[in-house]
Amino acid sequence: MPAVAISSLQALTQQQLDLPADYRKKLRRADEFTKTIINCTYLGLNSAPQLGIVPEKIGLFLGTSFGPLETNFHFLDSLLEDGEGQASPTLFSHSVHNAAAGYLTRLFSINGPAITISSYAWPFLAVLEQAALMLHSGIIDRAIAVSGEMYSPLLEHAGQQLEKSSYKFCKTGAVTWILDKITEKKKENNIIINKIAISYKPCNVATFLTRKGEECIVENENIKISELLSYAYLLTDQIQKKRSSGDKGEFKWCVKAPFGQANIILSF
Amino acid sequence: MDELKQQLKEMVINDLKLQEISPKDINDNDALFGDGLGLDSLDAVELVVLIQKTFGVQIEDMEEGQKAFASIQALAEFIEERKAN
Amino acid sequence: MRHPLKYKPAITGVGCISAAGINTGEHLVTINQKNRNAQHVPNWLFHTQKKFPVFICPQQALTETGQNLLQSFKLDIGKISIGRTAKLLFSAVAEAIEMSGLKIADLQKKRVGVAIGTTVGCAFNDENYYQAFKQGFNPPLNPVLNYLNSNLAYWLQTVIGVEGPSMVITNACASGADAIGIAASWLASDLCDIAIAGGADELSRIAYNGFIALQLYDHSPCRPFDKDRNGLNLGEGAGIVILEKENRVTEKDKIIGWLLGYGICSDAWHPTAPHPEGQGIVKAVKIAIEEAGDANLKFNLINAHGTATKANDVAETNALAVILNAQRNETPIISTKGITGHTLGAAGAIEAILTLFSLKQETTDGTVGCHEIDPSLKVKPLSEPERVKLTGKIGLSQSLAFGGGNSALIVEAN
Repeated sequence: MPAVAISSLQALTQQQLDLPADYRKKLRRADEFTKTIINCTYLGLNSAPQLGIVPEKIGLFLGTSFGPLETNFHFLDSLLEDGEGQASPTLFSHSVHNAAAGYLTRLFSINGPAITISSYAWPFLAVLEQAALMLHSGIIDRAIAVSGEMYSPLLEHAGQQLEKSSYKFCKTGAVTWILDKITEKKKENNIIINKIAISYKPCNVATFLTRKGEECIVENENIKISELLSYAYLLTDQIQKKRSSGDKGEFKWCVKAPFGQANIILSF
Repeated sequence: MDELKQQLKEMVINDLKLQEISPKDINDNDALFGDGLGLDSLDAVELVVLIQKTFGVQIEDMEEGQKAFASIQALAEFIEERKAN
Repeated sequence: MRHPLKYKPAITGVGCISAAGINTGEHLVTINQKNRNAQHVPNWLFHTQKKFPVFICPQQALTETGQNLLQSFKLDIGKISIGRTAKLLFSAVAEAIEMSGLKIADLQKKRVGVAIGTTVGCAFNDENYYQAFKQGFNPPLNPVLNYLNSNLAYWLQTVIGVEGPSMVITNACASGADAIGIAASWLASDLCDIAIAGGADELSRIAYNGFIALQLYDHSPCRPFDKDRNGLNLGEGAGIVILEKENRVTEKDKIIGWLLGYGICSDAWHPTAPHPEGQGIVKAVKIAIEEAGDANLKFNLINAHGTATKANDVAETNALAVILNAQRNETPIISTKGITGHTLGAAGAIEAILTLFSLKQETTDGTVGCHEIDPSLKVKPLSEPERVKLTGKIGLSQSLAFGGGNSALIVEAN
């Protein structure tokens, strides 16, 4: 995997939503999944260096496990309650997995590739890997890597039946990293992703939801993970802390679960 | 007719989730689409469903819809005419 | 993206299932005989009062080839509940693997990437469970477990017993094309030796009602590029290609064709409507041509997205006028959605395969469902009765998606 630079990192939950006024207008029809993703990406882009990259050379990589599931259910509600022929077309168009990607491209003027992927394991790591490949290929000069999930009462209820009554799904939230190509300057001052390796194995599929057995291993510490997206929040948080500390050198990060393993090597 | 127009203005604002605008800001003859209120083709099909659900009035296709949706006034007249027949 | 020649993706096997046939050969016959298999939604698929035409696969979504392959893995079938989308997918995978001549035991020793596009196949649509949950009951969890078992790429890798990069692409109508393009990029980057790529989608009540609500659905069987066209019809199916690095294919005769280039680009225009001039697809095709490495590349056949909506067919033909430029009057352009319907996540893959096989047989039939070409279109696709000889082996298959995605695949027949 070719090395790329992380130019900014951002995580956001729905509780922290604070959209600028003109975005609220453009997002009037959007659901909380899209709004949270947009807000997170807005902050991420603002704190990344302004390199003047043309829209055609910016790519978007959005990964999610369950997508706008609640919006899908709201459309189903309108179908069940109002009947065929009176279901909401707006809800339908927003229930497709790549609806949020469409908003991202329109609001942030992204004319390069926009790829939405679905993975129950670690969708954020999967999009990081694909983003790095496309940066290296020269098709794009900047990649916006995003992951988001939408709180689902239905899946939380199922998780509680499968695991334990205290199981929590995850609040609606998102993570956005801006990735750029490495320049000599970046090598000195920025965080470099040197390697991402993800492997999957057959498992009890309930663990995709319950996250039972998922743990993060970093600097000899094992941290148990029990919610969706937590791995991405943890990774983001740990990198931000490392950057603030001023420490230099290699940083190895690993996440393991019954469904596979992912290793990331960064350098500061 | 005035009550219907008020209801339509509230419906457009609430159900199409228009921001920072109240019914009194919409004039009866303002264009709803394009440069007027800025509604688009997705709002148009949503409005078709809303009109059907709320008033039981069917709009057969978007050509018919375009005329009916020209303004609140046009829409109110369209609904009243349909309900009378 | 450049393909260093040693990693040029060769297509060594394909599989297709849709209303037009349960394998690739049947599709070609259907196009040739113009057998439209449009019908109303049967009750065994789902209940609906709406009588719009749909293009569906047999009730038994797993073909004999698919069943034989699945049984060969000696899985504990009783515990596995495989959804319709997965069955359609597996049917296409089975045909493709058989065509490629690859043995499962050999596949299991290699790095095999799996990239599958879908739109419906990633949604939880068990209405009974949903309603029971909403009413405060504790319904049995099987639908949830089946859903968690349904990530198509993960599931396929688990069943076949292979390891390698794995991805489900949910880019709406371009998903199948993007899956193939992304899989090719894995080969080019040496992330895997072989890739199984394409798309699959079953017909869902949600999507059916969704497109009807959007007023994009024709009451009649669809008529791409026709002056009276009035919208799309949904279909279902799967399309799969096996991609291998050309230098690793020992029997060159078994190469069906090559993927010369892939381009992807965003309109950033509207949630459901394409850019009126098709700017995004123009750029996507340009990127694909750049990857193919030949600025003077000429297309001998174009399989358009051609959904038969008013907006798509105009935008797309505007774009093709720009893309083809001086060749606009001599390049055959067709849509095959007249016999498959719009198969959503499968479309880009099925259509790339149909393009390849038309190039192989050096002839194309016209656009089934198109009787009188809309005179206002800037290029003239082939209408239903037409049949033309092709003058070369290079074709373009393009997809324009909800959300503004545009994808282009350039294929060359062997």
